[in-house]
Amino acid sequence: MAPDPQVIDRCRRGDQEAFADLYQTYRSRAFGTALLITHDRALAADAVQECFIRVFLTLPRFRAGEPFRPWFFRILTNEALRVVRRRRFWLPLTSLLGAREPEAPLPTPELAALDSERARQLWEGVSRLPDGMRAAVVLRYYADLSEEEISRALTIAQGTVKSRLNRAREQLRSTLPVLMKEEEIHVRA
Amino acid sequence: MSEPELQKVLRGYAATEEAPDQLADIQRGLRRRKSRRRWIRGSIAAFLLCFAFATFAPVGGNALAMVRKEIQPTLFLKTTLGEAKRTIRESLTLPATYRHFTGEDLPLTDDAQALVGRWLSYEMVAVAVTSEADAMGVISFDLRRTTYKPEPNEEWWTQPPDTTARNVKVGQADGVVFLESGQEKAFSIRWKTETHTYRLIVGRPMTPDELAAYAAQIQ
Repeated sequence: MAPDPQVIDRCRRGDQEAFADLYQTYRSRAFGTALLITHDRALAADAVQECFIRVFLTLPRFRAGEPFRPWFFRILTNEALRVVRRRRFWLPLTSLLGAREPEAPLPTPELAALDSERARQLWEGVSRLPDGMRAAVVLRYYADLSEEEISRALTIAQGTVKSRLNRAREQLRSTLPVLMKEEEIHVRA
Repeated sequence: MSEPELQKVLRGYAATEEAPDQLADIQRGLRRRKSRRRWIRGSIAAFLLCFAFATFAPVGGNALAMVRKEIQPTLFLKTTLGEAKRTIRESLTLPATYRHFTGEDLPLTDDAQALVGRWLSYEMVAVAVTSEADAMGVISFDLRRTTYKPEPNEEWWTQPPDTTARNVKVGQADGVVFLESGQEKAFSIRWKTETHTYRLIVGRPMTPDELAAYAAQIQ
């Protein structure tokens, strides 16, 4: 998924076609990442739009030879986390105004291939992770970034990335049985 | 829970929403953002310009003039040689001694009276050792240096009346000494380097060669 360095170079010179190429290369993965962090289509679209605007505005300052992916995902993650924080700030007001909670996603062939209940529980577990931990998990298991790239993207030490991923995995493992128990209790009641 | 399972779940949930095509919005946003930046920069420039004009107004002008004085002294600031050396932008090397008008060779110390200043865009420094504290008495040593560079074909000196001009070499530079008629010694020498033009008056007359050798110590 890494873009052609020539495309980056052309973007830095302000080539609109190269911008479009770069956008098409990253569009889907960027939106997916933002969606998994924000859990909201509109917020994810906002984050992606702002991210690309920032990328294109700051590309002239991007140092040639630096890896592009971590730099791009750093901007995207920051934007996604920013909109999440903003939503939390306004949430009390929107709930007063009667705003609806985002609906549960429709099943996809990928999800259908899994045990749907287990997948839902796992997804809920990911949703309950703290923001920083969830961002690390999404970048590792969805955006396919290496630990080194995540460390650059989140501007944290590589050791911290490892420990965050480990703790996230532990938390997810421990969450699954709890969820199942909750489900059982709910059914019995 | 295995890592591939987690991967599948995340990809599955990400695939529930198709990525919208926002390129047109992004390009519109970019144009808007760029024009906003231009507007902000323009506003800042306009504000600074207004501020600069305001400081030139009679009331606010003093503040700017004080700063200007610190940076580049007005023509001319009475000071000491040490202070003058610190104030001028380029270094000034002087001979260790000067010939007093009584004939003694005395050390040229940093507490000698000096004037330093600018004329138009030319930096000028004047070092004057005289019998009066205000540098207006009998001259023992009077050096003027300016960054003014005369054109090659320009007559860059004014010859005093009843004198004969004799060309000399001050180091590698071209110089001229003015000898009064019938005299072998002179008080004044002028020379120009690639960067500066100099005029030196000494307290006791010297031969043109002595003057040129003495002047060559000044840089």
